[in-house]
Amino acid sequence: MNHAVPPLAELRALRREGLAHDPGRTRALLGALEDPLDLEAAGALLAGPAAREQLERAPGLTGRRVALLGSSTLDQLPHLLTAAMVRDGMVPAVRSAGFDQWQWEILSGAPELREHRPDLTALLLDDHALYGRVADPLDIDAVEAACAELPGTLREWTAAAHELLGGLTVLCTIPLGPLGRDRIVDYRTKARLDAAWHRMNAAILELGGALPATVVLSHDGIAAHAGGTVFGSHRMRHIAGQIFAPRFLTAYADELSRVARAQLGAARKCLVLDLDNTLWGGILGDDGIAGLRIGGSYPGSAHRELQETARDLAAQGVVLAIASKNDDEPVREALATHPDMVLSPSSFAAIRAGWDPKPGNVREIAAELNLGLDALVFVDDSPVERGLMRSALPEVTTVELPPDPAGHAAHLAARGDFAVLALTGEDRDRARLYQARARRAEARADATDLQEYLQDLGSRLTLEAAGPLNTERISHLFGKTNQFNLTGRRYAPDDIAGPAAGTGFYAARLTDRFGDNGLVAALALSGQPDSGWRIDNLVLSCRVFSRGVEDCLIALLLNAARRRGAPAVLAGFRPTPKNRRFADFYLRHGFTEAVPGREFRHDLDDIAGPPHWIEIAEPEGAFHAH
Amino acid sequence: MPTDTEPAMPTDSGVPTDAEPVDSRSMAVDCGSMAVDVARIVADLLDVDQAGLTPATLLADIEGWDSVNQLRLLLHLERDLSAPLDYDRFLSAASLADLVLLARHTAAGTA
Repeated sequence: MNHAVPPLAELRALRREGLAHDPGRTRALLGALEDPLDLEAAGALLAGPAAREQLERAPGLTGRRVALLGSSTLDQLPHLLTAAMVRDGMVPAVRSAGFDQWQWEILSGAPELREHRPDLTALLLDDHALYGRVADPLDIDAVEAACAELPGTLREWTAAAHELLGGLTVLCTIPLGPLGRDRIVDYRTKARLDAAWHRMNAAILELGGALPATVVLSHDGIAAHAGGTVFGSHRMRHIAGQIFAPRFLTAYADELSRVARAQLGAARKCLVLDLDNTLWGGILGDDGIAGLRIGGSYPGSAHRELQETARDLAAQGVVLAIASKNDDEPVREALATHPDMVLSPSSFAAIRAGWDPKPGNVREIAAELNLGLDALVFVDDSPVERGLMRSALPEVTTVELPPDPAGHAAHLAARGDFAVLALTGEDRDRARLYQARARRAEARADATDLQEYLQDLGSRLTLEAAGPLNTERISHLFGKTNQFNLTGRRYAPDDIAGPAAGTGFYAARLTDRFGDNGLVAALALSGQPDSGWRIDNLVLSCRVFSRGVEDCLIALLLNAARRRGAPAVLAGFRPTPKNRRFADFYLRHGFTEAVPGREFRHDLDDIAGPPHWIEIAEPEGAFHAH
Repeated sequence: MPTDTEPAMPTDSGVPTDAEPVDSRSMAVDCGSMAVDVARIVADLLDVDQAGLTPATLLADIEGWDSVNQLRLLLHLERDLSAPLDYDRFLSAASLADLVLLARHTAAGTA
C-alpha cells in the first residue's frame, strides 16, 4: 500500500493506545521490518520501561531477562534484541555491561548485572579481545600463544558468570578483522595467524559441550544469515568503536532470540506444508503425477531440496503435515508412487487434502496432533494462502517465501523455527509417535467415512468391447498407465482393431455424480483352448484408485467366465519399475499362484461380489472371450 | 570557485539565511524520488512529538538527545539520503534547520 502509515509511526500509535491491547499487530509489524536501522528504531520504541510494562501484560508474551557483554560498542544490540524477541513472543529486559567491561564485570562479582538475574547472558567478542593481550600484533609467536590461551580464559569466565548470574550463557566465536590479517605481508605468517585463529575458535566451540548451560554460536553461521557481513563501516569503527555491522548484529539478535525461545521450550514442533509448487513443481490436478517436477533439473531440484529439508527436520523430531488444495487420493498416490519423491504418505502425521479453506485444515491438524497453534509453521508458495493464514490464525508461524523456489529450503532452514538447545531421544521419536497416532485415528475415520463417501459418489461402471470408436483410447490407456499395469504390455491400435485369434479387448467407463471420468480401465483377454480364459493385461487409471473399479471388473469377469462354462480364469503379472504395489493383486482377489509371482489361476468356485457402491450397466452381458 | 548561485551555508548559530529559509511546515528534503523528512526522523528516533519540533529547535534541547542518539540520527539520515554526511558539519549542527540544510546540500551534492 502506498499510503500506509510508516511502521515506526504505527508502532508509536500502538504504544499510545496500549501495547497489551493487540500484541499480534506489534509482532506482525516487527516481522515485516527488514532493515536493521528500522528494527533498531522499533526496538528502541519498545525497550523503555513503560512499553515493556505494557507488553508484559499482553497475552502470549513471556518476560525474559538478558545480560549483554562485549569488547566493542554494542549500542544497537539491546534494541535489535528487543525487536527480535518481541516479534518472537518474548519481552526482554536487557541490561548491558559497559564498553569492553566483559571481563572486569565478572571478575568484580558482576556489580552491573548481578541484581538483574538474567535468564540469558550473551558475550560477543571481536578481535580486540585477543589483540588487547599481545604487545605487538606482528609477533606471531605471541599471537599464537594468546590464541591458545583465550579459550581457557573463556572457560573460566563462563563458569564464573554462571555462578554469579545463573541462567544460560551464550558465547560466540571471534571474527578476525581484515586489518589483523592484511597488515601482514608474507603469506606464511598470514597462514599461521589464520591457523591459530581457527584453532582458537574450534576450542571455543567445544566449550558448548564441555560446560553446563552453555551455548556457543558460530559467527560464520550468523554472518551467513547476514549476507556474509560481519564488520561495519570503518567510519563507525573510528567514530564510535562499533565493530559489527548492523546487519550482523540483527542476525545475532535473531539467533539470541531463537536460543531464548528454545530455552523456554517454545520451539515450533510441526511443519505444515503445501504441495503444488511448494513440495513439488506443478499442479497435481492439472499436470498429473507424471507431470510433477521433483528432482532432476531446476526447478525440480529445488522442490526436492525442500522435501529433503523437511525429511531432515522430521528426523530431528519435527512433525510433518500437509495442507493442500487437492483431492486426497491423488495426493497420497503421488506421494506413494512418484519415483523422485523424498517424502511418502507415512512421512506425515496428518494429511489434509481437500477444498476447504486452509486455516480450518490447519486448526484440525493442530487438534488431531494435540499441539497448540503456536507450535505450527506453515509453508505455502501462494501469497494469498499465506495472507489468509496470517489473518485467520495469527498464532501460526506463516513463513514468507521468496518467489523463486530455488531458495525455499535454505530460507526455511535459516529461520530456525525448530531450534532446540539439545536434541533428546524423545525429540527424535516424536515424529514417529505422531505418525502412528495419526494413522490410527485416520483408519478409524476411514472405516466409516470412506464407505459413506463412496456410496455418496453414485459410481456407475459401463463395460465396452473394443470397437472403431474406442480403439485409439484403449491403446492410449494401455500406453500411459504405469502403476496399475499388471504386465506392462502395451498394445498398438492395430493390435486392438485386428486382434489375434482368441484375444479380446475391453474398456470400462466410470461416471459419478461429479461427471464422467472417461475410460478408466482396459483389459486384454484371451481364450485358452483347454484351460479357460486368460487376462493378458489389466490397467487402471490412478485417478480412480481405491474406488473399487478393479474389484468390480474382476468380479464381472469371473462371473462371466463361470456363466459361459470356462473351467478357470488365468492371469499374468510381470513386475515393472512402477507396478510393484500391485504384485499381489490377483492373490488378493482369490487367485492362486500357478507360477510364483507371475502366473495365477482362479477356479471360479468362490467369487467375491462386486462392491455394493458401484452400479453396473448390463452386468450379464459383460465379457465374452473370442 | 564560489559563485553567486552556490547555496549559502548555514550559520553557526543554526539560524538559516534569508536566501535559503527552512520552512516550519516542511522540513522534508527532496531526495530524488522521495522526501526525507528530517523532523520525522528525529521525532521517531528520540520518541518525541513531531509537532513540537520547529526549524529553530536546538538539538540539545530535545529530550533524550545524547551522543548515542546523535549517531543513530547520522546513520538514519545517511541511509535515507543514500549519501554520507560531512561528519564535521553534522557534529556542529546545532538546530534542526542546520540538519535540514546539511541534508539538503548532501542530497544536492553541494555539501
